[in-house]
Amino acid sequence: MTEPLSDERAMAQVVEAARQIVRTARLNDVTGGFLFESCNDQGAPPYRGRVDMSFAVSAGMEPEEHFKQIATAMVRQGWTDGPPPGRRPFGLAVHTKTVMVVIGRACGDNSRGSAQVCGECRNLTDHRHDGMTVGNEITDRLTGR
Amino acid sequence: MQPEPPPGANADEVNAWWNSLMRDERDRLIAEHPPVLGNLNGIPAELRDQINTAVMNDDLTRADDAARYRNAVQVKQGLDHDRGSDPGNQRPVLLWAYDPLAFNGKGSAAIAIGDPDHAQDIAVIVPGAGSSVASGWLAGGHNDAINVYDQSMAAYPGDDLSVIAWMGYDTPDGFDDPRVASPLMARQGGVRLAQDVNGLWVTHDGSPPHVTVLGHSYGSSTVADAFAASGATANDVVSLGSPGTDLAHSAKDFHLDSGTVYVGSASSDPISWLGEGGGVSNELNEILGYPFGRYAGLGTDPAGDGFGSVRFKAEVPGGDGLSFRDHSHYFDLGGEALRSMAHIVTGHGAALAQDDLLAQGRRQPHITTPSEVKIPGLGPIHLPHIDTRIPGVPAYIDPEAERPREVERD
Repeated sequence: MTEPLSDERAMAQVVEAARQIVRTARLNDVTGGFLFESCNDQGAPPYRGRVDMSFAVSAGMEPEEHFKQIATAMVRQGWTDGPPPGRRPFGLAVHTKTVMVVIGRACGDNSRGSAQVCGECRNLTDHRHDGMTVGNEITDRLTGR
Repeated sequence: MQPEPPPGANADEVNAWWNSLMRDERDRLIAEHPPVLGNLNGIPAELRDQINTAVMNDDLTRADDAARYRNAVQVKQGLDHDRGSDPGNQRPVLLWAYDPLAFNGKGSAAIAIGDPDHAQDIAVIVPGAGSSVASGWLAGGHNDAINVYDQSMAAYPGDDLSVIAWMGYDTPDGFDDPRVASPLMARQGGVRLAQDVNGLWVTHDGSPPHVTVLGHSYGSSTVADAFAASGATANDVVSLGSPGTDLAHSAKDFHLDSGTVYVGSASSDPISWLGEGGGVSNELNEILGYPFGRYAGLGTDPAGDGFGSVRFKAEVPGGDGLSFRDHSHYFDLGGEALRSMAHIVTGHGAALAQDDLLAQGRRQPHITTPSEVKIPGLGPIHLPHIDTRIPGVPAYIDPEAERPREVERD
């Protein structure tokens, strides 16, 4: 079996990936939050780390055009275009060996885009009653130098 | 002024009573927020949210009442969870129902992402055994409602959608609860579900919405009973990992008019094989250690090709052989089941075919005879060709099991 990830490493896995996107694609007005997401419909372990972040769509660009530009920038950095084999999410997807990112429009706001960064299902902590599935804002960690 | 509508009033009568009140009377009731008001079908969703949120906030100050306080915390976390922790991209959430002491303290609540009264499409998600407010279903991190909402919006940007996480019935406590083998709680829950679903039509503003009711596991039996026995009205139904549809023996029993019963059942999900009550399900039940009691199955398997349903692809990546894990991956981001649901709840069920998401139903074995035999010296002799199902045998041949898996499982 694959080695489990501690809470800290599961969080770092997706936060670092999200930071890389912010820097590489030069995203502006970034905000975001982190939560542990169960990898099954029962809400039971294992969990993955997940960052939900959003950003301003570049002025004068169609949102989808901007999203494609982000994906292209990540592929130039060695990421793989599209979702991992066997996955078919809606939205524009890119991935690495450890994270899948789905990019699309933010809720009800065409001036903002969103990116969901999902990590590996290797965190075995039972988060059902520790409040860590609710989510916490981590904007500073995404944008800090 | 009547402070409350007559006892037992239906959603239409509640709505008529509410509309008969003067503006200041309504405002006073909202300010006083009597708990019963926030759970009445026929009251507009936005006002139910205001009332229920005020009641919940009161309960969050009542640490002396342990069950009430605990469930208020769970519901508050559920609202925060569904709203999301990204301040730049918040989902619009409403507390559509809130009764923290219902079901002997397990609690009852419903959270809507998107206002159902103004949505063009409404999806109601009904969970299965082991789910309750107290057990943390609303905020537990499985993200059913969030993923359906986000993926539907990604598939059809601009769609006006409301997804309701409906924790409105008393479920069996888990697979080790003997009540999971009985349809009783599904039938009781079906009554409540039908009332709530039908109430959505009464308060909806503008042209009629497209309503889909989705049930997972024991919740799919509850959904079936709501339609077959309690008069629920919706456009489409989605049945996920169903152990059986109890009082609905075929899709016709859902009375959907021109709507469709859609079914997602992974070939490797053992619970979805328990339906039909035939020899296979009982043998499987024994092998699995009787998860649904000694008498397996809660009715007919809706994934069978004779049910009249439309089956969509719902395999678990990497799945190989029956596994309890595969009962719980229908809402996975990137999974074909979630992708199918995004089409269905937005009223684009016809797109399943174009998107290569249709699956063949499970089928019964057939007896087939050759149409001719060749006897040396006599040449071919034609015979009457027989190709028929074996009577009394359940549909246990699953074409989906033959599909190659592409990746390692999670």
